[in-house]
Amino acid sequence: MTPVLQAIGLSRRFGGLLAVADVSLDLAIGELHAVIGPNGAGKSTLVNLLAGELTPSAGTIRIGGHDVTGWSNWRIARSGVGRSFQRTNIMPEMTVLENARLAAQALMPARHLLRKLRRGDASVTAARAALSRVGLADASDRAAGTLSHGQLRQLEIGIALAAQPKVLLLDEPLAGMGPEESETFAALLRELARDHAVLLVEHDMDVVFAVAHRMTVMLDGRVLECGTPDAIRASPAVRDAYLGHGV
Amino acid sequence: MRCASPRGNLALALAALAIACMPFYASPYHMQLASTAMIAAMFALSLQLLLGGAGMVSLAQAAFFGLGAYAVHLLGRALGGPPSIFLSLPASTLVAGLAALVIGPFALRTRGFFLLMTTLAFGQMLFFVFHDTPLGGGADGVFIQRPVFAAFGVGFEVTRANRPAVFLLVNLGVLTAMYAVLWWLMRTLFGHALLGIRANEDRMRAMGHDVLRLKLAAFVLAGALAGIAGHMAALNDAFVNPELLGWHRSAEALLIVLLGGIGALHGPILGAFAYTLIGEIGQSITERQRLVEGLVILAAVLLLRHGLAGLRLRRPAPT
Repeated sequence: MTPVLQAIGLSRRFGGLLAVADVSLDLAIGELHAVIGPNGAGKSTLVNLLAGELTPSAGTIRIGGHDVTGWSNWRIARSGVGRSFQRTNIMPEMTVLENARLAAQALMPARHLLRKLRRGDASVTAARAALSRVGLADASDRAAGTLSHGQLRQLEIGIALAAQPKVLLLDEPLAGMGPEESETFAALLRELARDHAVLLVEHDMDVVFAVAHRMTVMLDGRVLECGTPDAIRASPAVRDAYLGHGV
Repeated sequence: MRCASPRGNLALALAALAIACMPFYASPYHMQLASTAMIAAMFALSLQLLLGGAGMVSLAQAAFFGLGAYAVHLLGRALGGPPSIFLSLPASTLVAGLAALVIGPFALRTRGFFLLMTTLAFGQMLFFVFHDTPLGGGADGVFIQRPVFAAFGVGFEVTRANRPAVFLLVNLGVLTAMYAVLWWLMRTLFGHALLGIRANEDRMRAMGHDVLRLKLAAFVLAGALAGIAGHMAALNDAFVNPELLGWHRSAEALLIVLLGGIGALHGPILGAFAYTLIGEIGQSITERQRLVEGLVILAAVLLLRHGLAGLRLRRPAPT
């Protein structure tokens, strides 16, 4: 499989702190790549670097073979990288549909901007498809701010999906969810990985080991180990540093 | 930002009809007053595109208004006689829009309070271009020759007697056209993107929107519309002075938008008429006109969270 997104030797320094140090990873369509590690390991910083939210201090990011290092987040998003936020980041007073639709609209060429928005607009169709995929089809006309916590997490992914990206960067999509919701979500993640390259940052180890094809374990900004879930589970270094010996 | 409902638009159309019929029942003084209110409404509408549209607070709006007015004066001086309105109106629009295009890329790198301050700075810089300089023609302002309603030798003569009625109708036409354009614009993908920026600018950027370019487009269009309002003010008053560009005029427009309602496109129109009316009543009952205005606006803002446009019987549905 050719990788759609490649990070090569990515580093990010905040003053004296090296939050991400020499991290390399590949994301390919059909593969769910989980990044785990203790708090402060640099997982969210890595997502922010890949999404263009932060500029790397060193290293290269390639999308489909093109060097996109230093691009701002909106250009990265236009290159087919969708992301969800750890803390829900939406337009609460707008409808669920409009939240997803704006994401779909972002990818349209500027010459379409003066087109009147109609019910059958391409952006509406794309948004509806994304919302039904994450299970929010029935809630599309509600104000996004009135959704439950679990629904908001679904909407986060729905917004990322609406732009029909090749890569999905999901930063703790399960944060604050109960066990039952987590199971539904695990099925969704598995399903999304079929036609996307998914990077998943998550703390829920049951879900991570159930859905990941490949895993990267981070510690103090560095890659401690990278491999299949079975290899990670068996790795003594990972057990010592993070998972413990009970898993 | 909401647009008026079909019933609301019907009410606005009836009000426009009542204004259009003013020559049959109102005095020249009241027609002039309506013209003043309509020019204030145009100016406030231009600001509403920024404020209600994209959530940008600007204090440079009066500078574009003033540029539109001074463009009439400078064009007349260059031509050595009164310009045709078919020349002066595009000129004012273009000059104000271009100024916004130059200022925008710098000012729009900031937001919120800092945008307020940078637009204040740019606005005041333009103010001093016309204040007591050879270009502006003095600190006290200059009388100008009104543009004429003529082109290629064919035209309509405006006399002292028919002027209030003619200007009333012209201002009504321009205001209606401006409202219609903005009404359409807020229904396009561009309008929806602006509302998204107002709701959550960072998320819009993360989605892939070129937020700076969208904001610049709104800023330039708002500047051009303010230039049109300035042009109509110059036409009505036959007088321009540097105060037209001053920041307190921008603040006045902000007050009008606030009074009418930030959340509705037609808010500034209601606000401008209310503001003009309050000023008129205040002037007739007291010498402390500003005090009355201040108290009424304070009460309106405190009691009506969505401004005059928010006065309704039912709760609106989410957008």
